[in-house]
Amino acid sequence: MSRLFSGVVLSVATLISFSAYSAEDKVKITQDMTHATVLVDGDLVKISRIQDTEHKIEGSFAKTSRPCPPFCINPISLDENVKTVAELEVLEFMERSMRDGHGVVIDARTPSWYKKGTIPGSINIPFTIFEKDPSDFELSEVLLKLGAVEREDVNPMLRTIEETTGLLDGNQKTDTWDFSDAKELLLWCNGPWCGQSPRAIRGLLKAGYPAEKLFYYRGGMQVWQLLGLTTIVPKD
Amino acid sequence: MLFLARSIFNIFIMVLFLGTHAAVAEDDAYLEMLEGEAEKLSLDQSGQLNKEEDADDAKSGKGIKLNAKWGAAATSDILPPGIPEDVFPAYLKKNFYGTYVFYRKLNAVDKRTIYYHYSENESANIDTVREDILSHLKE
Repeated sequence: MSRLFSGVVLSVATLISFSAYSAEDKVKITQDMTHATVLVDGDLVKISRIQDTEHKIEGSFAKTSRPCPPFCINPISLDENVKTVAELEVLEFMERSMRDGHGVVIDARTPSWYKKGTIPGSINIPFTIFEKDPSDFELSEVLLKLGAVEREDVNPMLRTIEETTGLLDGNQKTDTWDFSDAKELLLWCNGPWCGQSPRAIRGLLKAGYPAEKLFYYRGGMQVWQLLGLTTIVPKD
Repeated sequence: MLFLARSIFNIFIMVLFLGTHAAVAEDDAYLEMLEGEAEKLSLDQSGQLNKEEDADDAKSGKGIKLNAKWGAAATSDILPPGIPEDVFPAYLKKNFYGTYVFYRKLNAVDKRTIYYHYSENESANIDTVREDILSHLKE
């Protein structure tokens, strides 16, 4: 009787562990990673991959061609000091920089794209804002929220020293902004053919945002979807 | 000589204007195409998490709060009516710090004028206040 009971327990345990394996581990992110967790509006959300190995991508991101211009293929590097990243670095950024408050993932697309679905943990700041003049209200407010500090009445002599020597974090400052404590930003848009995040990054560089604090996820939504990674419909 | 200088100046301004205009038109066309693509947009639903319905299933924990303010960062442009004058600067400082930075550069009379325009305009929003501040700064 006890042998029969042990047998049943063993079978059930095997079944449970097998279903756990098949439900969670069949399509991992890497050999050692099944999922990543990211904070969305204060809640932890799991990012994993579609587990159906027969699944093929549907919808707009299955599309291969759009008119070029304007939807032309971007280079791998936008600027020699802006790091281009892929999915694992995005996940690492989310689990490291974003969680400790030093980093922000930015969906740089216009709101009409964002509303249909985004990468969990991203906030929407459309590229058009980053293209505004640094003295513009909207851009100023965004820069302030990203941790930049406004500078007033900077002594021209001091500024010259900062610029020429790089001392006093001179390379993190402009005449009007101090980016020393500004957050690391990871920007993305629709994919390698999308110009929205490249334009946002160029706008940020023009405003003086330090290039080494900027990251470009070139794969964007298209590659994210192609790999079956979780997307989310943002709250209104 | 003066006529020639004026003509050159006018041509320069015209070229500058046309150049800017062309760039703006190009941008508008790009935005139009983007919106056209966005209208047709449909995402592959298989990996999509509906925040309202499915988030509970996907959560592996609760209670960690971070960057919650970011959810509203890009969209909170609402300026409620009836903010008292003495609270107005503090409200701007708290909710629209960038606007406040410009507002504080105004003299006392201009600040009062900004508030007066805001309080008189029932449909005032942060954009109208920003425009108002900007026009005073330019004066």
